[in-house]
Parts: sequence; C-alpha cells; structure tokens
Amino acid sequence: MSTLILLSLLGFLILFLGAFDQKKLLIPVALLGLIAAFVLNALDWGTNVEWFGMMTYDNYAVSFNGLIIFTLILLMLMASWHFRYEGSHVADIYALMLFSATGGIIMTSYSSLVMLFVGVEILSIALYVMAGSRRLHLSSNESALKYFLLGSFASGILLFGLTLLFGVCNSFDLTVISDYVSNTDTEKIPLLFKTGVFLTMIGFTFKLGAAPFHFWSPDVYQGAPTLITAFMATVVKTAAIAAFYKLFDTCFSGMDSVWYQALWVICVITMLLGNVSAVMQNEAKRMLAWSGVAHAGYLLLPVLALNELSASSVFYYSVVYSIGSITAFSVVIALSGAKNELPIDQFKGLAQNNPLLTAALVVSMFSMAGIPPLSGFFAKYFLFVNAMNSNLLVAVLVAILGSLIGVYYYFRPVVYAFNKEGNIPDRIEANVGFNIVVFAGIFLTIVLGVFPDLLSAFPGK
Amino acid sequence: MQTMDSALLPLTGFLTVALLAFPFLAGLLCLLIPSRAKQIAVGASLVQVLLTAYAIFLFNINYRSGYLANMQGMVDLPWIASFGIRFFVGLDGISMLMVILTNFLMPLILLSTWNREWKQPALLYFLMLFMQSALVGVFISLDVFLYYIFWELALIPIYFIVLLWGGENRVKVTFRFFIYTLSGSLLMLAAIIWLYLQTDPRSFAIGDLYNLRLDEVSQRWVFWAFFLAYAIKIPLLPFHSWQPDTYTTAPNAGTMLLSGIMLKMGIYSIMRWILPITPMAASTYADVAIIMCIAGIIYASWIAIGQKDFRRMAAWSSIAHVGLITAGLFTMSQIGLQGALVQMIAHGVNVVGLFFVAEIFMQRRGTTMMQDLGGIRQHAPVFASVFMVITFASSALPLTNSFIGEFLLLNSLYEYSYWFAALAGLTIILGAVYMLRGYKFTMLGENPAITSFADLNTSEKLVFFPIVALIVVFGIYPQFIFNLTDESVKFLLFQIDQHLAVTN
Repeated sequence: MSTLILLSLLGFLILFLGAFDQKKLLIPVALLGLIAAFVLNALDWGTNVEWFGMMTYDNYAVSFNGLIIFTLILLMLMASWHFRYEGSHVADIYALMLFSATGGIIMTSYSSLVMLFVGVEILSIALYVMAGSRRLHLSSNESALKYFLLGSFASGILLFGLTLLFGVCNSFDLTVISDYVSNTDTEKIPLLFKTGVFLTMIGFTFKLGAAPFHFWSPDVYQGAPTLITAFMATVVKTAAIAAFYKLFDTCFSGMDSVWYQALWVICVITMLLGNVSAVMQNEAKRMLAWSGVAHAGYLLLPVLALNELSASSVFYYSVVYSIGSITAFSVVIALSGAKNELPIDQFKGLAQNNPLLTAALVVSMFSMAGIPPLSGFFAKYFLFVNAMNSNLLVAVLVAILGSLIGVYYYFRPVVYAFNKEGNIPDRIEANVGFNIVVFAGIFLTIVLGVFPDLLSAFPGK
Repeated sequence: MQTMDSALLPLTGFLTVALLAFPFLAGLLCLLIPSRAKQIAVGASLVQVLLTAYAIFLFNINYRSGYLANMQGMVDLPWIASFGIRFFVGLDGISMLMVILTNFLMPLILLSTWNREWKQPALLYFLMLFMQSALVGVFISLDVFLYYIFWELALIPIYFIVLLWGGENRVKVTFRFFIYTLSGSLLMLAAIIWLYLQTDPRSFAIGDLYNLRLDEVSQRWVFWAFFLAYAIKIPLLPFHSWQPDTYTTAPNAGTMLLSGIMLKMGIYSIMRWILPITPMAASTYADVAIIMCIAGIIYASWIAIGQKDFRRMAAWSSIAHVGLITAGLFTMSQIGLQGALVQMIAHGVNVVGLFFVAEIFMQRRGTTMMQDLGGIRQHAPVFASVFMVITFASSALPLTNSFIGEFLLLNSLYEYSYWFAALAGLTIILGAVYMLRGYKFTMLGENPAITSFADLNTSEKLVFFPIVALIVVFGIYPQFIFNLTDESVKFLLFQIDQHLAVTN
C-alpha cells in the first residue's frame, strides 16, 4: 500500500516541480522516488497484507509490481534524452507515466473486481493523454483519439462483464466468486455469469492487444511518442496479463470448459496474425506493435494451461519481453531523432558508427526471435513446456511456427544494420541515462538467458 | 591414449570445460585487441590443439563407466534447476573424435584467412572462435537441452560470417539458410520437450533418455522430428537446396566451417540421439533414410559433373559424400558406424582442402569459374601436386583417407542390401569423374590468359601440408580412429540391441 501511495504522491510532486519550472530536478526526483517505491514494494514480499478486502499484496502482486516499477525506472532514465526536442510540458508526461503505473499496480494487486476496474481506468486514462502528448502532430492526435474511443468502449465491455458477475454472485470479492464457481456445477452456472466471463475476457484481450481486438495497436503504437509506445508495450502489457491471469486462475479455472475453446482460438489467431502481419511492416514501431500482438498470443498460452508453473512462466516472459522491448525501443528512439517514426530501412549502416546500439539491436531482436541462449528463448521455452504439460500440443506447434515467422521480421533490422550502402547514420551521442538503459538491456537479456533460474522464485505462491 | 586398465580417470572435467570455453575466451580477447586479432586467433587455435592433444593423451580407451560406455571428463552441475536442466558434459570415443576433428581443423581454417584483407577482422575471428566453442559444445553435451542450446548457438556466428563477409545475394542466401535450419531445429525442440515430459523424474540427461522405452508410434514421431533437423543440416536430398548457394556465397573460411565441421553435427547427432532413443523407428525407416541418401549421392554427383564453377562442384560433391556417410549409419552395424566415423574425419580434412584450393583460385585469379582457369600446373607445381593429392583423396583412391572410410561404408551397405551397395558404389566412379574433371579444367591444358600464377607461399603451405599429411597418415594407418571409438561404438550398438530386445 505504501508503494501505491508513494507513487501517486510522486506523480503530484513531479507536477508541482513542473509547475515551478524545475526541469532539472524532474528526472532525479522521479528516479529516487521510483527506487524508494521499488524498495517499499520489495519489503512487502511474503507479508500478504490485505487492505479492506480490496487489495492484497501477495507475492504475485509484489513480483509484478516490482517489474512494473523497474520498467518505469528504465523508461525514466531514457526520458530526458527522448524528450529533448519537447517544450515545457515534459513534467506532465512524467507525472502521467507515474499515474498510469499506479493504475497498473492496482491491476496486479486487486482482490475485488471494483479495484480491478479502477486500476484499468487509472492506467488507461493517463495513457490516452500520453498517446496524444505530441499535441501539434497529426499522428499523435490520431493515436490518442483512436485509443480513447476504442479503449473506453472496451472498458465499458469489461465493466458490463464485471457487473454481470456481480449480478450472479452478489459480490465483487474474488474469493466469493471463486467459491461460487468451484461450488457450482459448470452446467448449472447461469448464462448471465457465462456472459460476464466472456465480456471480461474481451475487455482484457483488448487491453492486451490480442486478436480480434488488436486493431488499435499498430496505429496507436506508431502515433504515440516512442517512449510512450515503449510504455504501452511493457507496463501496460505486464499489468494486463497479470490481472487477466490472476482473475482466470483464481476465479474461473473451475469452469474452463466454458471459455477454454474461445480463448484457445483467440490465442492461436493472435499468434498467427501478429507474426504474419509483422512481416509486412516497413516501419519499426508498427513492426514492434504487431510483434507485440504476437507476444500477447504467446502470453495467453499459460492462461490456457493454468497449472502450477503457469504463473512463473507468465512472469518470466513478462520480464524478458519488457526488457527486450525497452532495448529495442531504445534503438528506435536513438535513430529516429526528432521524428516520431522510423522506416526499417533507416537501420541501414547502423553498425558502421554505433557499435553499442548495434549490439542492443542484435541482442534484443535475437532475444525476441527466441534464439538461444538469450533470455527470449527461455521465456518462450518455459511457456511451451508449460503449455505442453497441459496438453496444448497444437497451440504450441502454432507458437513454434509463429516464432519461425518471427525470425524474418526480427532479423530484417539486423540485416539492414550491417548493410554498408546508402546513408550511414553518424555516431549518435546520447546522455548517460540512456546509455545505462542500453547497457542494462543488453546485460540483463544475456544474463537472464544464461541463468534463467535467477527468477525461478517469482512470483511465488 | 592410455591403454592400461585403471579405474582412475586422469581426464578431468576441468579439461573438458577448458576445451569448451577456451576458444570463446580467446575470441573475446580478439575483440579487445583488434589490431592483433589474426595472430591471437591462430595462436589460440594452436593452444587449443595442444589442449586437445593432452586430452587424447589422458583419454583412457578401455575405461568403462557404468552407464555410458567410456564416457570421461564428465562435469555435471545443475544449471536451470527448476526445469531439471543440467550443465552435463563429457567425452566418450565418438565425442572425442569429433572434438579432435573440430580442434585440428580450426587452425587450418583460421590460417586460410591469413592472406586476405578483411573488414572488421576482430569480429570475424571472434565469430569463428565463438563457433568453435559452440561446435565443441554440441559434441560434448550429455544433456539434450544443453546440446540444443549449443546446436542453435553454432548457427549464429556462421549466419553473421556469411552475412557480413559473403558474396553476392548474401542477404537472401543467409536468410534461407537460417530459416531452413531453424525450422528443423524447432521441430527437434518440440520433440525434446516431449521426450522430457516422458521421463520420470523429469530429466534431459542422456542416460535417462536412453532408458526411455517409447512405444513404436511415439518413436516414429520423435524420429522424424529429430531426423528432419539433421537431414536439413547435413543436408540430405530433398532438403539440400540451401546448401550449394550458401557454400558458394559464404567466404571460403565460412564454407570450410560449414562443410568441414558443422554438417558433422548432424551426422554425429544421428548417432548420439536418434539411434539409441528411437531404434525401432530408426530400423523401420532405415530404408527410407538410406534411399534418401543414395538418391542424394547419385543426384548430387551427377549435378557436380555438370558444374562450371569449381566451388559449386565442391559443394555438390559434399552432398554426395555425406549421403554415403549417413547411409552407412543407418545400417546400424559396427562396420557402418566405424566407417561413418572414419569418413567424417576424412571428409572434413578433404573438403577443407578443396575449399582452400578454391580460395587460392579466388585470391590469385578472382574467380573459381573453370573456363577462366586452366594451365596452372606449369606455373605452380607445388600447388598442383598438393591439389592432386586432395583430388585423389576426394575420389577415394587407395592409400588416401577416404578409401578406408568409403570401403567400410560400402561394405556395411553391402551387408545390408546388395542393391543399395551397388547404387551407392556409383559414388566412387562418379566422384572420380567430377574430381578429375575439376582438376583437368583448372590445372591442366593451356590457358593463354593466365601468364603467371604464384605458387604457394608459407602460410598457404602451412595449411596444405598438414592436410596432405593427414590424408596420407589416415590412409595408411586409420587404426587410431578405430582404437579411439571402438568401445563407444560397441556400447552404442549394445544399447540399441538391448532396447530392441526389450520392446519387441
């Protein structure tokens, strides 16, 4: 709880610093606050604190919160360099990032569906504004509007689903709902409840960007400022899958015959569609958006598997995917300069003058493509083993086919980077914070790959 | 090689790990001192040869550990404990032979790059040494997951070597190569995961997998998942289409790595994993596999005869040769396995020689097209004689290393089926045709365009003379290989027989 309070207060503090024009203080204060939040969050490990039946800080929540805060630290380190062309309102963006992450933390820690919805809304509303934060650019406005219209619609569906669940169980409490499901014959569960489950599922798949509710993601990813895109790809996905998995694991696992097939189809279509569409993209952020769709599909495998190791495979995958995405987006940020988009052929000649960025590109792309011994390989591997353990052989074969397709689009930027013809970008000088992120990204991707057991204790029971 | 019977194992795990890690560390050193990368790389590969020689000296050919033939120098540490994945390595005779092949060819391959000016040499040498580590890793892994990691790891450096230093169309060619081999590998991964889920308690260790008694249907699935990966890597007909392009696009050193060592990963893996884990399926599909191999031998030889480019000819000839090796494996007989091992070494040495010949043409004349060469013998007598020896060896003349291997392989095929042997025997005739044709068009006759052709210089001699020596030594005295691998091969066959006896 202290984490949550600290993060929201930190957001206000940043807003005030911005109002009094203390631009230099913004990042240091935000970083200090985030580190403090990370520590406070870690102190909750093993305590299982409950707050008024609304929030529970169990180890699952603490693990995912830690990931969200850590991701935010990395993003903040890049922020000042990324927004160097922006005017005065960067403080607002930082504050909104903190508010949005606060929503994410509520989404991982809820024990009542009300809090779940509040979390989703806090996360989303801040995000709509952030997506449009390049006020004077058409694409950014388009991005914000699309995201807002579709997102609020999806929130409505989610809320509708949750109220239907309430209508049957007469409670928003997770334990009550899960008791109801486990004590009732699946055949005797009323249609109202089943509809509620489906609508909830649709709401979540929208936030995750899974097919067929993924259409917003390429446009929104492309139009938003790149750092915000990275935020969407990491913090938002992590929070969404954590909340999704938690709800289905605790509440609906007893009635999986109802939703299993639907989710299986969503999962398989998402993996195929995401990978195939990513192949056809010529713009880096769109490509990463579609690859994000594919990753959402992979992340649905453990929700289908729902065995005792599923949670840890979700967590490991989220960590690896967050770090990989941030590393990949850091290269995009560095190369796109004042512009907000990056055609893939702009990677041409990157290797000539920028060894560090090239290393970041190679490591992140290879990791996301699932090449051993990088962490992305193990992340996929754990998911696949986990899914195979629950007899999801066909889905796993589709996933394998998907990662094979993935190699194509992940390798394209790498191939371009080593191409020596055409305009070769000069050496790109970034600030210290940015370089720290790039180093950390490369380092963690390799280390988590060689020693994947480092994270085996999380998210714990 | 120690021959005394002793329970004491002088070959320690430390040496095994050193063999694995040393090239990679040396590669890192190349990156740190880019101006001396070439010297460091060659020096390190020579140190690695000494390490290997020391390992051979300590290797006890008569040693028998309880469950894995004469496996020694074992290291077994938990790696990813939560998934039962272990860092489990060790050497038996077969692994030792493959490690010897890798580590003795490596200095020759590195030396073959000596005279050329490379862009970013530090990166090139790093990648080559990195690859050496990965290859050694494949050959010594006793945990199938660890093995898979090294298997994939070996693909990355060669991908970059071809991509960065390759010839025309390299982007397309490397991409096809990568996707082709990766799709095979992923199938294998699915099979590995499935096998893992069958073990109880869950384990990837070789012993536990050998003890699995799968029913026939599952064996068939596992067999094909593994075999496709290897058929692509080796490559066997009809999965060979990536090979000629990749071999001719890669820089010659890369081709030597691919053909000399990397394709042996596939052949070795058939021995190590397919035959003992799925012997029933292997004997069911042996005919299919052998027919694939023989079709490859004849088809590839035929194509090789028609080639105008010396390098493409060498690439096709390689498909023919490895087809015979794989066919011998699937006879699942002592002679067949021994022949395959001997021939793997012979092919590795010869093909490195052939592609170095191509490299010489490339450096001196800028082409390997046969019509632009010819008449070189008068200008470069030493080169001509060396090339002649390699030509003889490639066409398996007696007293060369290939003769023994091909003789044993054909012998095993003859025992398996008369017709198979007769058809596969064409490799000797056709092989002689395309090799001698290649020699004739490049070295003999007159070519007025070529007025001078420098003979071999010192660094080139340092590559060629060891190759010639190896050709002759193994041609006359192959006993070394038999001694080294005898125990392991017998044990392998014993495993297979036992498995078949239990399941039938």
